[in-house]
Amino acid sequence: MAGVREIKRRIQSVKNISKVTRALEAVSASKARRAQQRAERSRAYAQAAWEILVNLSGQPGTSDHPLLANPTETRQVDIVLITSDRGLAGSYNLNIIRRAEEFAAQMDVPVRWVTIGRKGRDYLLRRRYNVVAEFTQLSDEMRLRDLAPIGELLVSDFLGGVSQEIFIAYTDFINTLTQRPAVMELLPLSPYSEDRVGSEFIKKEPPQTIINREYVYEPSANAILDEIVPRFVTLNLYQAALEARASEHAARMVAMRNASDNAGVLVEGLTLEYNKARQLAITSEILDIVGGVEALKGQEAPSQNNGRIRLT
Amino acid sequence: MLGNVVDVAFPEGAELPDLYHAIRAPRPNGDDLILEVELHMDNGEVRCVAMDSTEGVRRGDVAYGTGDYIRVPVGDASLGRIFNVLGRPIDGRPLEENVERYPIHRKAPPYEDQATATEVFETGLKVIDLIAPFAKGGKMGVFGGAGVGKTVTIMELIDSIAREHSGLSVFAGVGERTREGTQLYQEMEEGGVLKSLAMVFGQMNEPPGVRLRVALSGLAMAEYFRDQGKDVLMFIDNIFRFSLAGSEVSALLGRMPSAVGYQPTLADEMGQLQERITSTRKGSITSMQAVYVPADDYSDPAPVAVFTHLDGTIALERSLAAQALFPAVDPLSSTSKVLDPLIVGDEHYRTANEVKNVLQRYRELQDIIAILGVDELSEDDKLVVARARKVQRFLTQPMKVASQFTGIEGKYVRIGDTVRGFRMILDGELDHVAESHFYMKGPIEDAIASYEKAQAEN
Repeated sequence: MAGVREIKRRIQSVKNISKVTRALEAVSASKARRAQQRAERSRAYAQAAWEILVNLSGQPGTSDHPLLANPTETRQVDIVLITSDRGLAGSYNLNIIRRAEEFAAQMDVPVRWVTIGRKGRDYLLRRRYNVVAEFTQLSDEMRLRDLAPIGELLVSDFLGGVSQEIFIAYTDFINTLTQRPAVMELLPLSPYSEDRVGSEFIKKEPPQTIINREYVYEPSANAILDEIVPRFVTLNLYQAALEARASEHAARMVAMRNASDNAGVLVEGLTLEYNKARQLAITSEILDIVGGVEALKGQEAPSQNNGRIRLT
Repeated sequence: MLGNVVDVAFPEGAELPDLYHAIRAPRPNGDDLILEVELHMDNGEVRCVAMDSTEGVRRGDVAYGTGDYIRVPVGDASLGRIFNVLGRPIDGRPLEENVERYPIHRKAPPYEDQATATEVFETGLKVIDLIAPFAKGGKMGVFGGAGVGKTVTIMELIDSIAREHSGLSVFAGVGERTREGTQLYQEMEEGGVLKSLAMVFGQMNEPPGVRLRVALSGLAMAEYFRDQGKDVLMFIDNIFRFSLAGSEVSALLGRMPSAVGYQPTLADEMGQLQERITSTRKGSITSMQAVYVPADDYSDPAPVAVFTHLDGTIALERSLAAQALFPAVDPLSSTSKVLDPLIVGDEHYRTANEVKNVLQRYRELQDIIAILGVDELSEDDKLVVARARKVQRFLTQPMKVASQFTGIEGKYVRIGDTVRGFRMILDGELDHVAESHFYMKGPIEDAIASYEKAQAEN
């Protein structure tokens, strides 16, 4: 059995850890609530924008728009990986990284990575993946314009013919207890066909209300698309970042709650062990003293035969 | 007469028998009860401890001093036989006439004759060979609480060593179960090594006097071979019972108990015994002793008294046994004096230390893993944890004497193979192999083969 002092030291260190986890749990809880609200509020807008885009791209004469057309040949793909900057979020980062990594492994062309968040960057760099751009320290109060540089970078790469497809890997916020790692095709903005490799990773888009009516666009549908699609790319990024952020805080909150619980269990077990060790020490000391007293008191030898102690 | 302590009165003027001399007290049915003198009292009385149960002897019976210590048969006559503490065969066969006998009380070899251990003695058990290698002519203790595998470990060592080294060995069963003695006898017989083994038993059903002296009886036999210039193996299971018997006798003799209720002479008695188990320039005694640790408390005076005498300790740990990691040797608290680069070589020394470091780091991280989960560790720490778990599993080994429980044949692993295997894990050559492939394997090739087999099946 470990020494009493040793156990005490461990209890103290576990208690200190649990203080940290408890505090972080409380902080994450409030952050999660706010991030969740932001993500949910923005969802309606993203959804509406998506519908506009789908309807727009259904118009005659738009299918050859460079940002909508499926590539004839894919030579390189980009994957945007959204993770957190900080740890202590349970398996949040690991799940999405793994998902993205598995997806990338399905690609039979070179993959370039763009990372948002430190954890993903560190992981990819450690494994010597090709990371071409990294963005960190995105605030909780992020705005659409904060994501604009990333969107512009991706669109220009895409239009410049550097990469033929761009995916985004992030974590979808379902509720506080569930967050789902997801991969979505960012560009081209056409549905990812189900018979392609890696399609099982691609998040299914919600069904749209298709309006079977022909609109007249001024000056032309393509002119509007030129304007709207890059914005939409950024919007998609923004929405993904919001979802990821809400997921991150929720995941951290849950992870910290579990950690606090685990610490509690550990402290409980250690306290029991501590009390046992303490009691054992006390008991054996008492036994020693009592035994000594009894031995000194007795005039009769404890021999079972007749004798008395006679010291020679 | 009841009880294990007998007072014998000698007529006035008669010479009293010396301390530790034997006294013979005939029973009505003809056989003798042997007593050993422990204490001289005034008025011509001596206080003795009985070497058998005292039934049949009555108060006032006549007893005779033999003028000598208890003597046990030694040499070739002792090989292949089983004796009790008095040197009487208990395997049902008669003893030859005029065998050579040694007294069980002898002096330890003087300083100038003692030899120090500098040679490694292969045991075939990976964890022992790597972390706490045995020294030829050295003394090793196998420590452990109740039911963590002391006896199994000792039995395995006897089995592999007796087989691989084909030397002479002596087994002293002190206060343990008789059944284990029978099992050992049968296994040795099957293995064909009975002819080089002498066994002495004084098991838990026998009076304290027997358990106090039976180790000495076995030792006398080993000493004889050593003095003949041979290399002997001496196994004692379990040396703690010797201390316990000493405590019982001490209480019966009316001595005041000391710390934790043990006899005040605990360290002295142990010293008397242990100092004799030593190698001389003529021959060597390599000994392995099982030491029971009461309540898993390594600070208990009885195991502590043994610690200091040993060249190395093999600590069995309950938490490992609970995870089915057998043999449950704790690498972090097992040590050996021969784990020295000058004796085992740099490679072995370095590997052993790295194994300990990795396991130590894993232990330190365990609290964090328990609280935050393994995902929160840094990449480096994750690697350490993964390797530590592999090392931990590779330290297990199927044992021959346990094959009826595990269903796996026992494996004997050469020291070179052991070191190489751990080297490969530590160097990251096997990072791709899942940890389960390392569990209960012999040399590293077995683990790799298991991995490749699993790969082929997928």
